[in-house]
Amino acid sequence: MAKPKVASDWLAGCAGCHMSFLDIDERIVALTELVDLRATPITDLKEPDESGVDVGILEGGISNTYNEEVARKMRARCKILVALGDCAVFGGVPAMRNFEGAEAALKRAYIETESTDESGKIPDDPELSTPVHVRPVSDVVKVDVFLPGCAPSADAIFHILSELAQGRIPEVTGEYNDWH
Amino acid sequence: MVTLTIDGNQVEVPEGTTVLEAAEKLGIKVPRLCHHPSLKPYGGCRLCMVEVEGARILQPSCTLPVSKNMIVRTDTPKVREARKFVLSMLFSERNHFCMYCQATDGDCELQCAAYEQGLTHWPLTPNYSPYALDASHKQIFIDNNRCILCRRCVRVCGDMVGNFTLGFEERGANSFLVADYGLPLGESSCISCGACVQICPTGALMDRGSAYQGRETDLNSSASVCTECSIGCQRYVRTRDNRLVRIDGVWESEPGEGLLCKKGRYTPLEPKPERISAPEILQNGNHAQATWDEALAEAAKHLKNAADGAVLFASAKLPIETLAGLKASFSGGLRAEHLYLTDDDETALASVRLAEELHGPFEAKLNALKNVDVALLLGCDLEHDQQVAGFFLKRQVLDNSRIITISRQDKPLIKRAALKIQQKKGSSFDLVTGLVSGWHAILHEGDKLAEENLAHLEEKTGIKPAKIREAAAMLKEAQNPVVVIGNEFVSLEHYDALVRLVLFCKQNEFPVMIIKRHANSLAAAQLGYKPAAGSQPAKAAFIALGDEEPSAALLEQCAQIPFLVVSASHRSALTDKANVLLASAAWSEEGGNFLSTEGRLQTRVAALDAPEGVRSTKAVADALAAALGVSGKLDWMSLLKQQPSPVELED
Repeated sequence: MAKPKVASDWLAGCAGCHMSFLDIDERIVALTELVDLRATPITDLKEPDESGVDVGILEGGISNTYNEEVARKMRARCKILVALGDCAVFGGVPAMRNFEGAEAALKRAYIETESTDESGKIPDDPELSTPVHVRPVSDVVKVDVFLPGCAPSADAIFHILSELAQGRIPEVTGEYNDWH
Repeated sequence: MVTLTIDGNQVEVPEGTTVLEAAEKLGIKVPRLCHHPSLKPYGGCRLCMVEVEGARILQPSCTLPVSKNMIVRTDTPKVREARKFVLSMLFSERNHFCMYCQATDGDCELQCAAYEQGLTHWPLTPNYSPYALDASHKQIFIDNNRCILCRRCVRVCGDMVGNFTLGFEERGANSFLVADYGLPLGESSCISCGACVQICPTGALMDRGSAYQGRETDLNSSASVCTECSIGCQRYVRTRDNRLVRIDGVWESEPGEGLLCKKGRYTPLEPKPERISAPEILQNGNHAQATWDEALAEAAKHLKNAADGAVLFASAKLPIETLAGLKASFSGGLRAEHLYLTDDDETALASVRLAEELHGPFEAKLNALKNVDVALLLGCDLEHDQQVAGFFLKRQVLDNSRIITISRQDKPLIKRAALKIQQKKGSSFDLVTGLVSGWHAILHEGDKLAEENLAHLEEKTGIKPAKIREAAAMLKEAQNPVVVIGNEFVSLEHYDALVRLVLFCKQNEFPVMIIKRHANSLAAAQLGYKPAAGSQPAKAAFIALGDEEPSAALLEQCAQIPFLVVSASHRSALTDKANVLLASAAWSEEGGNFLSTEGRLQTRVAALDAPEGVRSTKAVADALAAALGVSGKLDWMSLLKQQPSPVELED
C-alpha cells in the first residue's frame, strides 16, 4: 500500500500550530515512514498536488478572499481535511477583529499606529485580497477532523497524524481536546 | 419516600427531590450550567435534559421533581445530541473564545461542559455583536460578552445575599446583566461581597485582583476561617509563590453557606503599611533593630519592674492560643490580672456575665436568622458589621419577612427594614421598658402600667409610642421571631437593660442572640479580658495587635503609659511609640483557633510563610513567658468548657 499523502497550509494564523507540529521532535522520523509529506509552508513544495492528497491540514482562520481560495483548493485536492488549531476550528485570535470590523482593524494598523506619520494609508492595490468577516475553515469548506488548541499539543498532532496514517479517522477526546 | 430508576439503578429519595439530586445520590452527575447546589433550581440552561419514560420530550432534571416508579435515562444518544445542541447555541450567542479568556482549564464550567460532551468545534457561527464592558467597580469586572444568561449572579445577589443589585435588561438572547436598572456596577448599590464572581460559571464576572494570575489549579488553597468578624465564615485563602491571590467562600459550609462580605473577601488583600521585619528597641528617640533575645530581655525587664503596674492589651482578633499564652505570662509571671482588649466592645463580656447568672447558654444559633418572619434588631448594624448575618435576614424580605430596627443612629441599620425606630435620648433601660410595655399593652388591652409607661416613652426616649406598639404587634403576630442584640445596645453600664431584655425574650420564647464583635471576642471574654476603657493607670504595657489599626482611644490610653512593648505585623501610630517592638505574623501567616459569636470553635490555617525574622503571635507570647521565667501554657480548651457560655460550644 502506498503511503498516504499529507499536505498542509496556513491561513490567518500565527504559524504556531506548525511549530507545535515540529515539536513532535524525533517522532517525525517515524511519521515520514508512515506518510508522504507533500506541500507544507515549511517545505519546498507550496501547493498540494494537483493529483490530490489523502490528508489536507489547514492552520488559521479565514480572514480574506485569498484564505477562502486556499481553503477551497485544499478541500478540492484532499480526501480528509483537518482544521488544525483554534483559529482554523473557531476563528481564533484573528476573529477578535469581528467585534470591531475589518475597517477599524486596518485603520488601527496602518494609520493610527503610534509609529505612523500623516502619510499612513491603508493598502489598496487591486491585486491584494479583500478582508472578510473572520470565520473558521468549516464556514467555507467541509471539515472532517477538528483539532482545537492554541496551539494543539505536539502529542495531539502526532495522535491525529498517526491515526490518519493508519487509515483511521482520529477521535479528538480527553487531553487531545483542549481549547486553551 | 419515592422510588425511581435512573440509568438502570433504583434509588429511594424523599418526595420533592429533583431528578438531578436523585441522580447525584447514585453518583451520576448530570451536566448542568445554570444549576448550583446553593441556589434554587432554575431550569434556564437546558443542559441537564434527561429522557423520562412516557414523557413526550426531554425533561430538565434540575427542576423536575421525582415521581413514583419514574424511569430516567441521563445518557442516551438523544440526550447527548440535545446537550451538544444546547452548547452549540450557547457558544454561538456571544464571545466564548477560550483562547482569550482568563477562565479556562477547569475554571470555566462552560468549557468543561463542552469537553464533557466531546465538542471539538462550534457547529454554529458565533454572533459578533459586542456588549460594553463594565470596569467601574474596584474588584469586579463585568463582561457581558462572556455571559451565558444562567442568572446565577442575579439569584445569588438576591436570594442569598439579599442585596438585589443585579438584574437583567432586555429579553431572550439580547438580555444582559445590569446593576440597579443600568448603573455602572461601581456606582450601584453593590456591597462588594463578591458572591456573584464566585458563582459565575464563565468569565463574565471576573475578580480583578486575581484575573490572569493563574487558574485555580495553579494556586494553593488553604481551607480556613474568616477572622474579620465574629461570624466565622469558612473561606479558602488562595496563594501563589507565598503571595495572597484571592479569597473565596466555601459553598454549603456553615454558617456562611459560601458567602463572604467585602471585609472577608477583599479587605484582607488590600495593601498594608510597611512591614515590621525584625524586633526594634527605642534608643534616644530612634528605633534600632535588635535581636529577639535583646528585645525580649528589655521588654521583660521593664514589665517585671512594673510588676502589678503592668497591663496587657490584646486584640480580640488574635488566636485563642495567643490570648491564652499572654494571659499565662501575665497572671503567672507578673501576677497581674490586668488583661484588656484593644477596643471597648462589651458585647461578649456582658453576654458571658449573663450566662453565668443564667447558669448556661441562653443565646440562639445564627441559623435562627435563616427562617424568620419578624426580626428585631437592637443596636446591631448588620449592614456594615457582621454582614453575612445581615444577608440571612435581608434575603427574606421578599418572602414577607419583616425587619424592625431600633438604633440611636439616624440612618437605618438595614435599608429594607419594615420599621425603623430611632432612640434619640434616654438609656437602654428606658428603651427596654418601652418595648416591654408596648408588648403588654398589645397583649392585654387596658394594662394600666404598660399604658402609663408608654405615655412617658416619647419624653424619655424620643420614640413615639405608636411605633413601639407597631413593633410589638408585629412580634405578636410572628411565628418565627428573632431578637438580635448588637454592640450599640450592650454595655456593662446598662447591663440591667440587657438582663431585662433577654429575660423578656426568654419569657416569650423569642430566640435571642447577642452579636459579638471580633473573631475571638467570646473567647477573650471567657479568658477574662476586659474592655480597654476600664484599664488602670499603668507603668508598663504589653500590646498585642491584630491586623487592625489601633484605635484613637487606645493610642490615647497608651500615651499615658511610660513603657510600651508592642507586638505587631505592620507599622502604625502605636508601633512608632513603642519602646520595644516585636515583629509578629500577619493573619495570613498564622493558624489558630477562633470561637465565633455562636460558640463555633474553628481553626484558621496559615496560608503563607511568615518572613524570616518574624514570629507568630503565639510564639511571641511563649517567648514573653520564657523571658519572664514562667510557663506560657494554659489549657484554654478546658477553661472554655468549664466557663458558663452564652451559647452552646461546638467544635
